[in-house]
Amino acid sequence: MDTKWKKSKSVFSFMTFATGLTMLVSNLIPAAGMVTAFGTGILEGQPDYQESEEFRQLIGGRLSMLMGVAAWEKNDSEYESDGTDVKSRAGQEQNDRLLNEPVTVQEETVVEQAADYAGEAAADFWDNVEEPEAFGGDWDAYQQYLEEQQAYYDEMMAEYGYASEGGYADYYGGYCYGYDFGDQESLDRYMADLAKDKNLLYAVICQNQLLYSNMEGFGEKAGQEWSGEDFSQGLDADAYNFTLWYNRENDGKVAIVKDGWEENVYGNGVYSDNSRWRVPGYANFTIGDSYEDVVIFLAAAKNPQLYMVRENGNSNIVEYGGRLYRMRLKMIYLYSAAERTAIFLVTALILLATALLMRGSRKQAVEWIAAFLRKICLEIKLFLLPVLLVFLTAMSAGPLGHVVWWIRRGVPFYSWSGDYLYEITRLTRAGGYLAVWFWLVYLVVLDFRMNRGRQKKPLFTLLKGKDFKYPIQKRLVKRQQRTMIAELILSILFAAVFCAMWLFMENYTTYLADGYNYSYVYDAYEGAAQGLGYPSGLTGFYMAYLLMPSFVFTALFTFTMITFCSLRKNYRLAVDIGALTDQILAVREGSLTEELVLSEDSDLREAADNINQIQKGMETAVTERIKSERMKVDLVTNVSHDIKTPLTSIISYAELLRQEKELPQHVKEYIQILGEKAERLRGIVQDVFEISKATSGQLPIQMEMLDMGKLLRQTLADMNDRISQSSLSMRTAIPETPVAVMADGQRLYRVFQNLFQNALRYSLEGSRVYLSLTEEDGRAVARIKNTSGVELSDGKDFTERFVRGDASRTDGGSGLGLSIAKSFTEACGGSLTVETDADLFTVTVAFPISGQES
Amino acid sequence: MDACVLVVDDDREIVRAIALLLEKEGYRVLKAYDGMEALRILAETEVQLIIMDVMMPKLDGLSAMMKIREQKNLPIIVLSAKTEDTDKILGLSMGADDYVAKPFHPQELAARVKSQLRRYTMLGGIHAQNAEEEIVNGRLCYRLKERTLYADGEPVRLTATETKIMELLMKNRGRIFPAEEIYERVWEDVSFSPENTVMVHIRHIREKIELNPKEPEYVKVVWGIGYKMEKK
Repeated sequence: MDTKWKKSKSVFSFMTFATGLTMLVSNLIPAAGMVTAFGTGILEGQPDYQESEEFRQLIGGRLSMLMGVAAWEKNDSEYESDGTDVKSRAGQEQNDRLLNEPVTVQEETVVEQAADYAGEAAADFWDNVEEPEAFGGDWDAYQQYLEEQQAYYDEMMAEYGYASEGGYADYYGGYCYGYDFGDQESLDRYMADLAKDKNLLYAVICQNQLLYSNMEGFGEKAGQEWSGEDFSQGLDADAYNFTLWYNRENDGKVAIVKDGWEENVYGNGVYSDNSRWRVPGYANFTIGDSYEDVVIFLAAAKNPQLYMVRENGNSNIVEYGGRLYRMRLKMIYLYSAAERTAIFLVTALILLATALLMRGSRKQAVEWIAAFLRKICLEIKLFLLPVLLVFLTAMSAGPLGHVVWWIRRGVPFYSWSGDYLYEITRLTRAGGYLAVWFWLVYLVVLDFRMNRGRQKKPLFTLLKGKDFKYPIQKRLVKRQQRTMIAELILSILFAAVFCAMWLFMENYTTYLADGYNYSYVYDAYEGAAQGLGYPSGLTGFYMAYLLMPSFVFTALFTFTMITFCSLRKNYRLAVDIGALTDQILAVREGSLTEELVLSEDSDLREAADNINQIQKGMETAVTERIKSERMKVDLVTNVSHDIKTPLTSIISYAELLRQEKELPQHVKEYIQILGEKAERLRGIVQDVFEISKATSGQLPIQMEMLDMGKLLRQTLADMNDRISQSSLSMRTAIPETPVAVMADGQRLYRVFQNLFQNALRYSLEGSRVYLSLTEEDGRAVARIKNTSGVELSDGKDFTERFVRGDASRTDGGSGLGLSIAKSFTEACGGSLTVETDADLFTVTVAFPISGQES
Repeated sequence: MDACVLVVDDDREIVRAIALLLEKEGYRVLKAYDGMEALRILAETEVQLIIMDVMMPKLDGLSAMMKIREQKNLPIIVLSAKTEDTDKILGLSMGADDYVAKPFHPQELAARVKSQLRRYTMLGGIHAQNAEEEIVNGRLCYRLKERTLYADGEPVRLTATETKIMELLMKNRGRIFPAEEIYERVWEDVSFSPENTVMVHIRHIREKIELNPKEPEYVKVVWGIGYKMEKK
């Protein structure tokens, strides 16, 4: 219970630490971006889209466009009669003016300006491209529609002088301010679309004549005289809080009123890169005479709305417009992003503070992670680390490089594209990558610090299986080896093919990024901002495309881990098989006490358990047997003891009787018989006792090196009296050279004593007993051959207890002689066999010859 | 000889038989049938030797022997139906002077009694001799100058060859002599199958010096190697 609590506390502590740190690290870059944005006054106070650079760009662009429209109309009316190419002339004039002017506007700025206008037109264009929803899921139709739009877009861009090859240079060479609409028709179409946008009201006046306006009550008055009235008077100041006048005072300057306050448009009056408004009227940014009679009014709505551009009755297609609306949404989103970043940072700090308080219990969790890392073998780490590094670098180079660029150049973070939202998402991505980098480095450092010198065996040692001693283990590992290599090749191939594919797609989409995806990203934001939920079809596709590498690498990683696990399992199986085989060998050798303990989840657990059961069963059986043998010995011991006590009396009194002098002769004979039989009984008791000990393996044996030839001679000498008393003659063939064997001399003497006694006792009267000692196949073999006095029955095991040549048991032997001889021989490590061939009785005693000569 | 022997055994017939045997040999015999009785008799009467069975009621032989050994140093012969070596060693190590396995030969027991009593009563005399002039080994004592072997203080009649063998063995107690070496050193001749010759002499010596020649305690055969004098 206590340890469980400790465990969960440790996990909690680490999770707090990790979450806090991740939040902090991943939000550092976005936060820095926000701080810059707010600190440099790019964003101010509230989510007001009119305070955005994009809005100012739009206003500047729209102004210049309307000026171009006015100029067009004017040129049309002024110069149409003389038939010159007025459009190109008008452009040329403006161009000359700009180039001839002593300005600080650098060439680059002009190019940028030009690019901005083309970009703006492009953005406007793509804003109006239909959403796939409009096609009701008919993807083919949508695809076709997109292609048409693309073609139209290309055409338009070409008109602006934009070409993918030459870039904006052509455009710069041709036009740089105002627009060339090519023909009246396209101008009318453009103005008709513009008129529908009630978010941005306008009025274009040329030579005191109202040319165009989409304001209520003025749109119809086109072509009428403008009496200098203020358009803003008729507007709801709350709905349209932004108004702009150009050249109202006939000074070529712009006056902006926002929320009833006049804005300082020109600052110090000199145009530079950092100027807020790119509009004519600066000391170094003026436009000439052709526009001096043009007056333009613009008014922007406080809360722009989405509006319908056109409805195509045939195809049921509705086109929507709403650039300002999108701007406002972006702004709201931007502010909520800033808010979220702030919340994240605060949460991160709270979590980190909590983690700091609990840092003591975090150690345990860190050790677990280290233990986990330790388990991953070296090869996988060495493979995974570079792969992760390359992958991460490829993924994060863009966003992180952007941040580096931003810091090094010291320009506002949005300078890349001039779009805060886009840049903020970039920064958020960069923050995410930073967090991933951070954790990668953290893990590497942790692994290095905690696991140095404790790293698990490299994988290839698992594949080699050098330490294995059994062939089955080696085979098992070898089989795995092949599978491993095949899987490795497959993985590498797969990864390579995927990388190639992805890189191709990445290039392709980057090429289109300014067009397609850019707007998809916006749509995603829009959806999020509206709380509508996304993704819509293409956005979803794009997201999937972005996430694809992570899916693939997760899959590859999982695959590798599974392979690795199976490899480790296989290795463990091999190890366990070794242990099992060892155990089987041990059981075979008679070791019954050592249990084989395999881990709970081992494949061979059941087999091991069964072996253990067999072992246990055998052990029980052996114990039982030993117990019963012991009981037998105890029984024999007790019985022999119980016999010995009365026997003592018998022998003693027989002796006393023997000492009596005045007894008749026949009584003395009786007493003689009594004494002899008592003596024989004594012998039998002793023999029974000894054989029960010998057969139960409880006979103490003192092995020593001895000369078997000498032992035989000694035994013969010891029994010389009896041999010479008998009618038998002994024929011996014992080599003089020592025949060294390891045996217990005392026991071996008893063996041969018994054998000779047997021979003496049961041989045919007057026959010969042959004794030979030879060396055969490294064994010392002693043979005693004699001719039996009685007929031997076949198939009788003479070494069995109480088995005798004749069954009458009247010959004075105990019937234990051969049995004792056999037991003793075997107890000393030799063997005794009895063969009968007709009346020939052969006993063979064999011992391994000991290498050392005595 | 009026040495007093105490016979202790719970088997009355055995006690009686031993008593009869020993009385015939001229000893005075006291009888006891358990360890407690033996201790009581010992406290009352002067006894020169005890023959005691191991397994007895009330107080077993070994425990009684330990009690006796606390006060007295008289020889004790232990009788036991247990014949295993370990039992023998246990008995001897607990203070017995001799160990006789049941069933015993009455003659052997009598011989052991005699031997123990002689050694017990003649201790002083034996010790008077110079260590350089005699070799003592248990019951045996070989006097170099006299070239005589004594058993329990009594001279043993040995032939010249037997004496030579005993001198060799007594001088090298514990060492194992192959038959060839004994032959060469005693007969001073080249040996040819000396086993029988040596064994005959050894057997004769055993009959003269061993209490039970069938289970010799001093001159022993080391089977398959040679012969030796057991070091006591």
